[in-house]
Amino acid sequence: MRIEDISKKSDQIIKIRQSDLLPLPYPYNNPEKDTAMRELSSDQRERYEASLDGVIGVGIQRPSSKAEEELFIHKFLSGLAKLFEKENNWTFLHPLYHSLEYCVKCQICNDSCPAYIASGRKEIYRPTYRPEVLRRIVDKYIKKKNRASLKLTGSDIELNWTLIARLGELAYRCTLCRKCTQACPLGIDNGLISHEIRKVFSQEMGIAPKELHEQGTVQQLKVGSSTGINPRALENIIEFMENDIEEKIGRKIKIPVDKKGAEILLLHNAGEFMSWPENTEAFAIIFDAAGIDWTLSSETVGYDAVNYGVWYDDIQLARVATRQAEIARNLGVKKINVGECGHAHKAMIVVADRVLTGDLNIPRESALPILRDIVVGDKIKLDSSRNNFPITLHDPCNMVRLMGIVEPQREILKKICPQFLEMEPHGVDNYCCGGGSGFAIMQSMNFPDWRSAVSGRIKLKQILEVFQDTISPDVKKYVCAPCSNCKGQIRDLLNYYNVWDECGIFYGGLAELIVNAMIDLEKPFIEWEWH
Amino acid sequence: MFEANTFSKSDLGLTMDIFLILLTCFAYIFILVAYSAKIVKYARMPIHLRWELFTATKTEKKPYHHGLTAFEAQPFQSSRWRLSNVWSFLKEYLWFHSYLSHDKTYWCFLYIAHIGFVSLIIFQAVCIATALGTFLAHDQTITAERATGSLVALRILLAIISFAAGIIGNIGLMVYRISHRDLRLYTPPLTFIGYCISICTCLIGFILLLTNDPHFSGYVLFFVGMFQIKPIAVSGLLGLFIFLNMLHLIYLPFTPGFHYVTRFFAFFNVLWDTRPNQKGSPVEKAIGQVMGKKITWSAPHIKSGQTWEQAAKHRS
Ligand code: SF4
Ligand code: SF4
Repeated sequence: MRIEDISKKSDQIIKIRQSDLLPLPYPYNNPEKDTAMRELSSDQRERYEASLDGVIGVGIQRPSSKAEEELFIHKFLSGLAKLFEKENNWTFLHPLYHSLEYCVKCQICNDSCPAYIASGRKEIYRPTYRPEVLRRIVDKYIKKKNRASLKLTGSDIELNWTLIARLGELAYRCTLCRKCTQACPLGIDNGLISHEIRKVFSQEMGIAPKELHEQGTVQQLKVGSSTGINPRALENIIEFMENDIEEKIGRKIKIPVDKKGAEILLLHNAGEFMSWPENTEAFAIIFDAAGIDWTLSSETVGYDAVNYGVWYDDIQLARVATRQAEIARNLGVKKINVGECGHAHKAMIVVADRVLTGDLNIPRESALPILRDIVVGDKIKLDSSRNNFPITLHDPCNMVRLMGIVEPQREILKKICPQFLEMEPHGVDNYCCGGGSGFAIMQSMNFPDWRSAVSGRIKLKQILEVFQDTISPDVKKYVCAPCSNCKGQIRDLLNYYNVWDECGIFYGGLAELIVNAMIDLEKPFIEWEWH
Repeated sequence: MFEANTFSKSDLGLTMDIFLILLTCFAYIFILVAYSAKIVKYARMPIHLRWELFTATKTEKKPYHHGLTAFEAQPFQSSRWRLSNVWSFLKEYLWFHSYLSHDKTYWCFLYIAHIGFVSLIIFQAVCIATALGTFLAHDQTITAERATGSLVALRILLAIISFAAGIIGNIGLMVYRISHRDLRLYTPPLTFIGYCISICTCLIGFILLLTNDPHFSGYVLFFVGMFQIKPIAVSGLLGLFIFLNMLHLIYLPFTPGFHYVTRFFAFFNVLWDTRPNQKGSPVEKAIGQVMGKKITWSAPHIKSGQTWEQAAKHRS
């Protein structure tokens, strides 16, 4: 295919065939064990744009009239122009400009991209494809270069509804893992280009995956959490967790809520409360045992660390971060610590650092170094033989490559897990789980299949490879993912391929492993029950 | 030996020589203005959200970092971290480290082409410096001997290196880009035109060197004439060489070639920019300014016309 084919009307630009996908190791080296992606129904294809790769992530509805189609194009162009204005896009203008103007198309970043490699190197997933399409549109329709210049710079492209809709979907085939950015010797950020395209769709055209926008940031700001948990529901959850802790460890712990002047306001991804309460319980147990002065908040937004704005909308990012900081300020806590959630780390600690001013500029940091200090500093008694099973660590891109938090989790695992194994590559060179940038929560139509079969495929390969010596389901193995979204993606990935039954590979957080090693616990904290 | 004296050329020849002087002046001024404008543009970019990346900490041999807080004394900010960043940057500048480890054939042609390009620039600088010396000597009797007297060996050496490397490197890159689908698909015609200009310039330079002007003194004298605002006759071949050389200079600002400068900003001002927003810091001041800017984004959840600060506190 050629680059300009993106604007040519066709059934589907590429087809994802099972035989093209990156081969997996034993026991998935037999293609029969591989799971085929679901096909879209004809009704879905009729209603939504699906001609990119036969997958629907965003769900862009087809226009019902010519006027609607023209408005769509007009809005896209006006949003695109705003990306290059200091007033509207000071947030990312500098890296955007550099990335669009100075890529020399040497393609050495290509081998870093999990989606591109796992798909069998489909052109549209190449890290430089999106930026090239966008560069051509900008040259022709924003800079309005003349015909000769367009020809010379290879920028001729026809802008139409099909192209824009496909580009909107394509912006959600990149997990913003920025491994390609890491590989680029010129500092070009192809992940950022996907981010900026998403922004045009959200901030100007009002289009974003509903899981990120309506059910995500909008619901979080209104109800309190993107999970739909409101302050009343939170009360019940906390009561449940206190009871559950008592049942598991044999003593009651009071989870502090809205404690004025506490040292730490702990922000958990609220998805943990719903799907993995054992993680938030583990934090409560560890902090209680180590005598940490901490609190949760019961204020709307204050009990959910997530900030999906970081993936698609700068305004929503600023709103959520501002609200979280206001809550911390009102509580008078010394600092905010973010629990096991990668994107919340990046959004709150780093990205929002240039949004929060004055008294909202409250110290913010990761909870991992606190856990590390407790474990390595022997503040609680631990017995590593309780974690004597093969364990590997998944590095969440946001914490590791994007923030440099690499060592605390390793120091913990080395101390309490005698069979700890590193995946290859790991650390800042890791591969994304395939669920980054919102994918893990996007459940639309056949998108979950795509993120298991394509964007998560390399992670599955890494997991299977690291456990090859003990791959039999008789040996229970653990993938430690200290990030809520990665955990969700790994759960779906393992489920999709039935890995728990086939290979005995389980997944979970980091705090759970610490509690599992506590010597005063009578029974293991990790229950090895698939969920 | 080249003889350069007063004019005895046709009007057309004189026009051509004047044209070459004007073209040369234009090319130098153009590239200076174009690149300065780009530098100013970059230097005046507004502050951006933090978007750092830990690229320089890749290898296992270096100790990994402990954890990030915007407020505590950051291990990332340590001089060791900064040094490792500078080192990784230099590796790319000096021997294109990423290319070398990724694709040796591509690296080989790229590196040779760059050696050619850099030598050509130094070669020109040496020619200009020699001409300037001649001009400043206030000696109006311009002879080839005087013009070729100083730095001649260096000039010839640079000419040989730049022409040979320019031809090999650019032909290699062109063939490589054409023969690899993933490169061909993304290479605009302008890039191939650039290769062709470079190859032709170097070929003609070589022919000049071998047949017409082994010391390249004609080129030096051309600059002397330029400084004197009194065109000195140049041979047709040298004229073509000067023309192509200047065309290449004019061509450069239209390519991503300026990444040698802009990437400095990309790494140090974006990817490695971990400056925290501390009270009273320049960062805080810059944020205050941009948060006061008005947005005109028009999606339903955004109130167009609000400032960033107002939008951030807006709930519905
Ligand atoms: S992003 Fe960087 S590595 Fe990738 S093609 Fe462009 S210049 Fe090369
Ligand atoms: S950011 Fe990650 S997923 Fe996106 S193009 Fe780059 S490597 Fe691929």
